[in-house]
Amino acid sequence: MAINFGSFDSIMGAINKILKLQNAGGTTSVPPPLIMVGGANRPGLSAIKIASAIIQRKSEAGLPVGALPSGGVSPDEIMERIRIEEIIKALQEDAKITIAIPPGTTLTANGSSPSGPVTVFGSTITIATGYAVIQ
Amino acid sequence: MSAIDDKKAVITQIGVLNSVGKKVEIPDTNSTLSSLNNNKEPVPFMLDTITVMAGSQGLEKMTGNVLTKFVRNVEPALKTTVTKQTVTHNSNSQLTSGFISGYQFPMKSIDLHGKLKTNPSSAVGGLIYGNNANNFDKSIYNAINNAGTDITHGSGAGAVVLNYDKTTDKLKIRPVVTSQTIGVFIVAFIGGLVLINETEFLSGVIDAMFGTTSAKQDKTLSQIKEEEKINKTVDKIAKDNKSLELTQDDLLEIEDKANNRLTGKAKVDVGCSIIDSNVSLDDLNTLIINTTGSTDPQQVGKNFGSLIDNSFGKDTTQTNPTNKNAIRDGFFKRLIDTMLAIIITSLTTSPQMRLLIGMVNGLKNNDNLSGALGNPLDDIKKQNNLIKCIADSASSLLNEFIFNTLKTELIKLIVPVTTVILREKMKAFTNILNSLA
Repeated sequence: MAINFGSFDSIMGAINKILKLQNAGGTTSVPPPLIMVGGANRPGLSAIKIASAIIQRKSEAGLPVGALPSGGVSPDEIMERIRIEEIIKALQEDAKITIAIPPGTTLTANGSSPSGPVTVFGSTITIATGYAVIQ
Repeated sequence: MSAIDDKKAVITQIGVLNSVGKKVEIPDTNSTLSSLNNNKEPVPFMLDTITVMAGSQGLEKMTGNVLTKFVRNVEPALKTTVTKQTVTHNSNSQLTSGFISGYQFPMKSIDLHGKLKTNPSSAVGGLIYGNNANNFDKSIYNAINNAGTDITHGSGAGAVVLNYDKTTDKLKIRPVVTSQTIGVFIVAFIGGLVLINETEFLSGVIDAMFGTTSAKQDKTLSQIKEEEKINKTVDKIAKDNKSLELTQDDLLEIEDKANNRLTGKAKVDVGCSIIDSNVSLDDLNTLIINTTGSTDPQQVGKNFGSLIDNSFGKDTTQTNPTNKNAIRDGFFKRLIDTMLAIIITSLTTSPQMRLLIGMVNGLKNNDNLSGALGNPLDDIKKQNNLIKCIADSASSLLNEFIFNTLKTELIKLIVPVTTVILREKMKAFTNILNSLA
């Protein structure tokens, strides 16, 4: 749409559109067969594993890693574990995932009729929904 | 969201992009960026955005760009605007008998800024009339200087004859070519005008900020105050103010500005104190010589930077500013704002435009000049719509120019960051595929 250079709102809209250019290139969908095969083998989320990975990388930010000079566990690292545990807990217990399956999914169905068994080939015509949990 | 929230969001986002791309500090959006308010003027905000992206140098270059690429090329678009706004319902009719005999207008209604009292050949005159030999205001001065004598200006369909009557202090104007339509005459007359002469334009801008030429034109405080009242009213129209009446605050501001222009000084707030800054006629001449010959925006911006740097600190008893960059940024922003104000003034209240408005009024109203040109302030209020349309058009042209420069800078900033983000997304996608294998 053409920009109205006499209007502040129009100019602001154009500036915001330019800034959105950084979002160009959406991610490609993961092939569904691969999800079917590999999805079930995933280990699932572990708060301790995530917290460990973060604590390991603390040195990248120039922060000390490991026990305190007194020998005690660093409260910062304890806090890191608590933070991740709470986030993972919320994701596993509170997150709600709704899946929308677009119409057009091809299907094959078997049934019977007065003249005998029938096989139907077709596609879905409505949007299907489903729910999922994060593990 | 309110305008201030929208502005802060943009500035923060640019700061983040800057931070990712160049590893610089994220700007504090509550800081001193003067445009962070609910005002909906695009230019100050776009200039602040440029400052956030490219710092003081960006603003300096922008000033150079506005002069070398905008002001020097905007004349045809401005002429189209003025032509559109002055076209009359009877443009297909022949020129009226009254106009062929000559329209007479009082000089005090034409020369609102006391320009025609100055000889174009004088040192100040050379600056305020500019260096174009075909300048219509020079022809008016010539007519005043040769009272009672016909002075022809221009050629072809837009040519006019000027004759000044010293006794009545009125200027008569009539067309040279009498057998033509009103429309053909107006288009040709506007086509022959010089709306923006660079020397005249620069002098106007610097005078509005520092009073450089006003101080040398022997103007009285009362004259300058009247000029400032006109400027303020035009500004109110341009900014779409509901009331055109001058408030007590406006009058105080006018008084202050007029005093500064009379003494040829501008006040600069340097935080701990207020100091004087001034630009002498020699400084202005140097700027014009160095600037009009250059096509390099960076160099032209630097010329303005030097002018600003040399404008303060002359009085050794005053505090010398330590943060010159902040002062320079403020000046550059004011400079660009003043450039727009001077373009609007050139298109609405300059002597040549006042005469054009007077002529168009007479031609529209079958030679009735009673409402054409009278008390300047009343005229301006009456011509509210015309001035608003011209000001809007000039503002839009400047907004578009600054926006296009801003767009180029934004894309320069975004492309490297976008590349990093895309690489990150590709890496994440590969990791997902690997985790499923």
